[in-house]
Amino acid sequence: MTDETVPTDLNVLMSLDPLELTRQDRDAIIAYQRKQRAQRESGVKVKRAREGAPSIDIKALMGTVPKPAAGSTIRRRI
Amino acid sequence: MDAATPEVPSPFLPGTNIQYAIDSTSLGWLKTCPKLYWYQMIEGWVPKDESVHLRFGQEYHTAIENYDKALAQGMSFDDAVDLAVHQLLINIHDWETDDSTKAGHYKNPMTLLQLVVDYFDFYRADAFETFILDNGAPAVELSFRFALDWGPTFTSNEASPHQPYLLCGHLDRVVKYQDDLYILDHKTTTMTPGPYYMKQWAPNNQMTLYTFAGQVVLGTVIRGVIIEAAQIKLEQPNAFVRGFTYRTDDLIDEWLHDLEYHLNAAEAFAEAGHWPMNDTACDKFGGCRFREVCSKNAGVRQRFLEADFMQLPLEERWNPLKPR
Repeated sequence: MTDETVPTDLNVLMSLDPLELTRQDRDAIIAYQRKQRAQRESGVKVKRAREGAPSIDIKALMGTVPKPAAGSTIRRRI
Repeated sequence: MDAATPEVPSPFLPGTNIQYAIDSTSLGWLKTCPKLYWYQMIEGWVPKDESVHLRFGQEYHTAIENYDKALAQGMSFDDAVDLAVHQLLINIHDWETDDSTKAGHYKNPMTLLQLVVDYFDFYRADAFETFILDNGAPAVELSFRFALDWGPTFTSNEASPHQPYLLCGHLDRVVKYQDDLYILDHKTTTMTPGPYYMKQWAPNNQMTLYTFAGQVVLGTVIRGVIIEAAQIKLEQPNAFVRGFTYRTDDLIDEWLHDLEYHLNAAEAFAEAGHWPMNDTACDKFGGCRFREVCSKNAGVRQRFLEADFMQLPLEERWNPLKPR
């Protein structure tokens, strides 16, 4: 996604079609979870993402990372 | 159900409410209270907010299953995490929860994502290895279904006079540790997984069944069951604790012997068309979900059921024969 109107908020990133997320996007999401955990471990009260997460500059993450290869046999449990 | 989905057989003998395909969940309902069993297993009533807990648990299990399988297939830690998280994001993309409820406040897509990532990081250097089956597949989400050497004594139904009881279920993971095999079972909780939490697993219907089932399907000794508890916290880091529970052969034999009595009783309830209330179990496990219903006169219970519960259609009701 290279549109100039790309949102930068994590909440918006999470609301995007997950099939469109790049590896970098997913790494950013995972990194955010780790950051949240580190802050909790240090005693810092962190807001839940739904209450206004810090912005993650998605544009800075956009690049030429290809989508993950298809063909996973993961099935969704009903 | 679409044309490609095979129909799942009923766990009941045809034309009866005699359940022949048993799993730990339905057996647990029966042992707790026959009335509870009737509400859930026979009639299909579930609380209207049940879906949050079920969905959270299912997605958590699936994420870890995907991760464990990816690792067992040789994927790197980072790639396995990425694969599992990506699939999780796909699965929960349409999941909406009500944060104003206690259930939704603790169990929602964001807390689930946090819990899953925390789990992967916590157990990154895990000493327990996933056991690899003879066919080369990792023993993850291992389904089992095997027949006991006895069945319902109900003889009026000539269509299935010799149907044995089937014990069914799914083992989250089989792991190897210091040459011993263990069944590993994932649990999510908001309770502190300390000694009090772990005490509930012995005696315990599910863990005894899993130990027995593991021995049957793997054909070897199972050292014990590992309860892998994940505590969901909101302002502190999520916590992960493993507890162990063991079953001797004598305890398993006793459980099987008692099982025959429980299933005989279930058959009697079904033949009588009546499932009695065990009114000493109403306050157990945080209080039975049907407590308010059962406290009303029988003549008005239907109204209270319809207010707070939903009755699932037949194909969506709990069925030990439903594959995963």
